[in-house]
Amino acid sequence: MRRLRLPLILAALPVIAALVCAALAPLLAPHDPTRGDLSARLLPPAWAEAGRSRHLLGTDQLGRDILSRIIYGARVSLLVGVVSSLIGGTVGLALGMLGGYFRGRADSVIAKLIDIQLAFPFLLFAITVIAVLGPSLPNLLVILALSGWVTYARVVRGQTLSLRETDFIQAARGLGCPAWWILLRHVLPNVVSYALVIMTTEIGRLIVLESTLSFLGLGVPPPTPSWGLALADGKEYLIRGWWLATFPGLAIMMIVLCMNVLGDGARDLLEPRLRGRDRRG
Amino acid sequence: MRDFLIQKLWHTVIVVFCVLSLVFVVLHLTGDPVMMLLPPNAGRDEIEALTRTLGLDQPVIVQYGRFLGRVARGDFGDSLQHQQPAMALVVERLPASMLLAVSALALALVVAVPLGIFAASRRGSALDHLAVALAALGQSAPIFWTGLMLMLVGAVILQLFPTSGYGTWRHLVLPALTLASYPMAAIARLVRSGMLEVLDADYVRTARAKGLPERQIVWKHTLRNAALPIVTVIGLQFGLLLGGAIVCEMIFSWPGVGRLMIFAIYNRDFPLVEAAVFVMAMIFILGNVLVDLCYAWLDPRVKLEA
Repeated sequence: MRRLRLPLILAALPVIAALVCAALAPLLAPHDPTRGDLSARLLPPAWAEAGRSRHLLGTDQLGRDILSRIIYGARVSLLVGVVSSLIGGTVGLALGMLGGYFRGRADSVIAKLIDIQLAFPFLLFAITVIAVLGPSLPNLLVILALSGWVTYARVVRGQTLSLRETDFIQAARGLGCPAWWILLRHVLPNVVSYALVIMTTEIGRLIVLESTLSFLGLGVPPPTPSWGLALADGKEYLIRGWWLATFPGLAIMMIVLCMNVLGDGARDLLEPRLRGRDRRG
Repeated sequence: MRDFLIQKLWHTVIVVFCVLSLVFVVLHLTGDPVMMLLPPNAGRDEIEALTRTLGLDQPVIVQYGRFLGRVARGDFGDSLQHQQPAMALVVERLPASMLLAVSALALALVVAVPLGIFAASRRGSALDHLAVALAALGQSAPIFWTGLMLMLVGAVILQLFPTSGYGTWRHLVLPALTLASYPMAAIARLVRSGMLEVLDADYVRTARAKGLPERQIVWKHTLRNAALPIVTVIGLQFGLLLGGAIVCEMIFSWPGVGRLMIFAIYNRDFPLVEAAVFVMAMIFILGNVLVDLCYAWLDPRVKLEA
């Protein structure tokens, strides 16, 4: 236990920093993230020879401050990650509990849906839908939420299946409790920790998915500052300005790495039974 | 075995059917395809003519039937941009994509399996920790960033490889490395934990007690039993590999199906998008079937459960 804590705290710091950036972006960002200064295009970071102290991490091809764009970009990434995993998690939790508890036809439909979605490459689905509906923030949220529910539903359904056979649930049923009461009062508290654990790692995955779609020009439309969009811009200027792609990428990697570590930690804390299965040695 | 195959086949048919329906629904029921296909300033005559050509004046169920019929013949119509059959364009780009995906998967396996075994057999050593840390990093870095950084180092700074293009093995190195990075990390992690799990097993202790050489224990007794989760992960990686290939092709201007598809989306070239999505989905499904078969071969119990 004690061995786990330090990495967890270290991993939580960047996530908290990103949350603060997202919440207080207008106060923290040194410049307007969407306003360019054509006389200050492609400036290198401040510590480089041609760098200026006004632009700590340099500027992009339109003279926009990269640090400010990263700070504002945290808004899109975290919003997308958190909101879509909340939607996906709620849907997955509900369907998993209903399927696992009531069994029968509804359950087999849910199980088939899970199978089918797992058998289809999700990025392809996302690309097809966005190709038709057009890229926008709400479309992105819905699509990412759709990508996540399966994981929750599968795990929660399995847990509910075994929970419904336990003595306390049988007793509750014997006492005449209605199904919705048993689900809310007895099943939910026992499965919600699993959903939370999945959510921690899902947020990281969804942030990557969002930036991938933005990178391909299918995510958040410009000029909204987004880490994925910044990388797409950076690709065109890789030779003249390495900093354009490097810093937003570092931001994504940092957040995802930390979310993964936190996810591992959350699993160890909330599900002691799984402890040590993946992280031996 | 026969029942197992039949069940898998049935499952595949259902999934293919769902994919087709999805493609149909997305293109035909979300908005008016005629308006999407025509420029915004099209006249009424043009709209009516295209509606009739596309058969959109027919009931939905008839349209769906016709759509399935066309797909069965591999006919997705002509690409609006290239004025050629969409399917032919996709098939033409397929070898490039396959080359990239296969080299990446091979590279990932060749590096990750020995690395995982090595780390597991020297558990707790500095090298083990290094391998674990590298794998965690590899799994967290988004593929497009890995690609850009590899391009920056390999092509811009060291100037060893070209930044983009297709043709020689030198063109293949950076894209394949990029695409391999994620599966490599995932497989290495899994091989390591899988090996650790079975290295403690009773039959491994028996093998040791019999005095078998360590090499034989690792490769013959342990690896085959640790192989099952590895095959699963490769199966799961398949979808990621497919998605990664799209990103990779965009970064390195690799002339594959993924790049074709993304540009088709930019140009609102829907027949081409449909054909590309269909082909990629088929490859994915086929890959999954192959993984299932590997499974049955590695673990005879799977067949009995089916």
